[in-house]
Amino acid sequence: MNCQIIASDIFDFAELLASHNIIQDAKSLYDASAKLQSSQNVAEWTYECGNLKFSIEGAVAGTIPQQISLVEIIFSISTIGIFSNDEICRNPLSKLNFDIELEGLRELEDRIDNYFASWHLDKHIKSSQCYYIHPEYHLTFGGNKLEEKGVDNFGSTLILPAPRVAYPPMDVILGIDFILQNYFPLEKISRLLDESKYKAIVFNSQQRLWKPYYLSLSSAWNSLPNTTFEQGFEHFNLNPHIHQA
Amino acid sequence: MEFKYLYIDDNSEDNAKGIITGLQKEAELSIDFDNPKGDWEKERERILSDEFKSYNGLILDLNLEETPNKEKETSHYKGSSLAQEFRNLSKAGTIKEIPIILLSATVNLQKYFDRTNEDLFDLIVSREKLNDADLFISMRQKLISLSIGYELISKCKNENNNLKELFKHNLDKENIRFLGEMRTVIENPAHTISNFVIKNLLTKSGILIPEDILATRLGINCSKSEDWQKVLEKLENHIYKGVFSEGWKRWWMSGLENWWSSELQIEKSLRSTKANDKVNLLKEKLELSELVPLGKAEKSKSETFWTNCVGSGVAIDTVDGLLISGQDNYFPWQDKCYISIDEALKPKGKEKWKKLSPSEEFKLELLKKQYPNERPAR
Repeated sequence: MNCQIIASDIFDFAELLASHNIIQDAKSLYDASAKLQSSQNVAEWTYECGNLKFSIEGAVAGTIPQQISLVEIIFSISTIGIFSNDEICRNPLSKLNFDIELEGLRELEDRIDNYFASWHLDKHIKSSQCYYIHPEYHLTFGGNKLEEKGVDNFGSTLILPAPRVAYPPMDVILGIDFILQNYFPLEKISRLLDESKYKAIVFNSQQRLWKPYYLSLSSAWNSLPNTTFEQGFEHFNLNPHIHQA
Repeated sequence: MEFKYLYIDDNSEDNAKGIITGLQKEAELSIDFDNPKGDWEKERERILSDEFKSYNGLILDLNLEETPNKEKETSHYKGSSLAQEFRNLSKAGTIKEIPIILLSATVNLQKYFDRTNEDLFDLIVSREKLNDADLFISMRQKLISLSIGYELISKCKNENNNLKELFKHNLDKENIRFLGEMRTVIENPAHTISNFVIKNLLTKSGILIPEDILATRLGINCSKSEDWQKVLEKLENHIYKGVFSEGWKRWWMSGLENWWSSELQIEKSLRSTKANDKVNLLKEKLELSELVPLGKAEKSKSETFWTNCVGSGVAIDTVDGLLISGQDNYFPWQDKCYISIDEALKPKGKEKWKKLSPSEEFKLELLKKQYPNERPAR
C-alpha cells in the first residue's frame, strides 16, 4: 500500500462523481490526489479537501421544516492516515478534521428562509478534558460549525450537546459515500452506486479504515490471539460503552 | 534587443497608425506595415523572402478583402487563410515558426471568423479593445514575450523536449497529469505548444495563478495594503519565469503552498483558514504591518476566500460562487470559474462570463426570491 494507490482512488472517485453529475467542482479532490501522487512517504498519507459542495434540488422526505427546496452540503476534511501491516491492528488515522455542513433553503410565498445543520466526525484527542463519554471516533450533530451560525437562527429549538455516537473513521471517500447515501434520493445516485469502480474504491477505503476498526471492536467478544492492538486503539477506546466480561 | 513584427492589413497605413504608434517602443518593439499583395502567389513569395526572415512575429487583419492595396489590387483571401499557409510552410520546415496575432474589428470576428481556425493564432485581439495606454503596454509586452517564447520553445524541442528549460522550473513536484499532457504537447509545432500554454496554463488558474488570485488566497486586500509589494518580494522565488512569463505575470501555486507551510512554517491550512487569521499570521511572520484583510461580500457565508468573481473581481470562496457555463472540459488541474451572488443577481461584467452553468439555474431562481429587490432589470 502506498500513497499512489490512494491518489488514483481519489482521482477516479472525482471522475465518477463528476460524470454522474453529483458534484460540479471536484478540484479539491483532484488536488488531494495530485499531492498524494507525488508523495514518497511510505509510513503515512495525508490530504486536505476543503469545501466540496453537493446540491440536492427538491424536497427531501422527512425534513423539518417542510418545503425545503434546496439543500446544499459542504464537506471539508483534512486527515493523516497510517499505513498498516497485518501484524498490528493500528488506528488508521492519526489526525482528522471532518465536517459536514448543511444548509436548507425553504421557499415561502414571499421569501426564502435558511436553515442550518452540521455533523462533525471527531477523533478523540487524548489530552483534551472531557465532560461526557468519548468514543475514539464519534459523530456529533451540531458542533462548532453550527454554533458559528449564531444562536438566533434556530427559533425556539433547544439544542443540547448531542450524544457522541460511536462511528467508524471516514476518509474523503467514505465521507462522500456517507453524504450520498444519507441525503441524496436513491434514484439520483443508484447508477453511481452500482458502478463497479465506485464499489471498488469504497471497498479499498473500508479495508484501510474500517477493517482495523471493526477487528478491534470484535475482539471484545472474540479474542484474536495473533493480532496485537495498538495502544489506544483497543475496543474500549473505540466504544467505551462496551463492558468487560 | 528590438523585436520586429510585420502587420498586414488592407486598410491604409494612416488608418493603422494609432495602433502601430501605441504598440511600438524604441529598442523594444518595431512594427512594419504592409497591405496584402492581392495575389496568393505573391503572398507566398513574401513569406519565403529573405526580408521576411527578419521578422519575429506577424500581425494579421482578418478581412483583407475590403480595400484594394496601393497597386489597386483587391485580395480574395482572409487573414486566417494566410495564417494557415504560413503554418503549413513552417510545418514543412521551409520557414521558421513565429507568433501570429489576429487583430480585427469585433464585428468582422463575429461575421467572418471560423472558430476552427483559432489555434493558428497565438492571440486574437479585438481592435476596439486596444483603446488605452495601459492596454497597449500590456499588448506590447505580450508580443515581445511571444517572440522570446517561440525561440525558447524551439530551443527546448532541440534539447530533447526539455520541459524543465521551457518552464525554468524543477517540475518534479508538479501535477503528474499536467506533466503528462505537456510531454505530449511539446512534440507538436511551436504554435500548438504556444496555444496550449496560453489557453490552459496562463489564462486559466490552477498550476499558475495571477496576482489577484494570489492576493485572495493569502486573504489580503492588495489595493488597500501598502505592504503588498513587500509580500510579493518575499514570494520572489515562486514567481513564474518560464515561457511567455514576460507577457503574463504569474506565480506557481505549488510555490505559494510551499512558501506558506514550509518556508513560513505556518501549520494552519492555506485553504481553510479565514482571511483575517491568515493576514495576522503573515503580519507576524513577515514582520509587516500594512496588510489589510479582505472583507466578506454581504451575501457570502465563507471567509476562506479562494477565487475572484469573474464579473466583479470580488473575492469569494468557491462555495459562495455560482459556476459559469462552458467549463465541462477542463483539465483536472484547472480551477473552475465562479461569479458571486451579487454578480448573478445584478451583473456588472456579464461580457466576461456570458452564461451561468445550467446546474446553477435552480439556485439562481431561489436567490432571486431571497433577494427580491435585486432582480436584474430585463
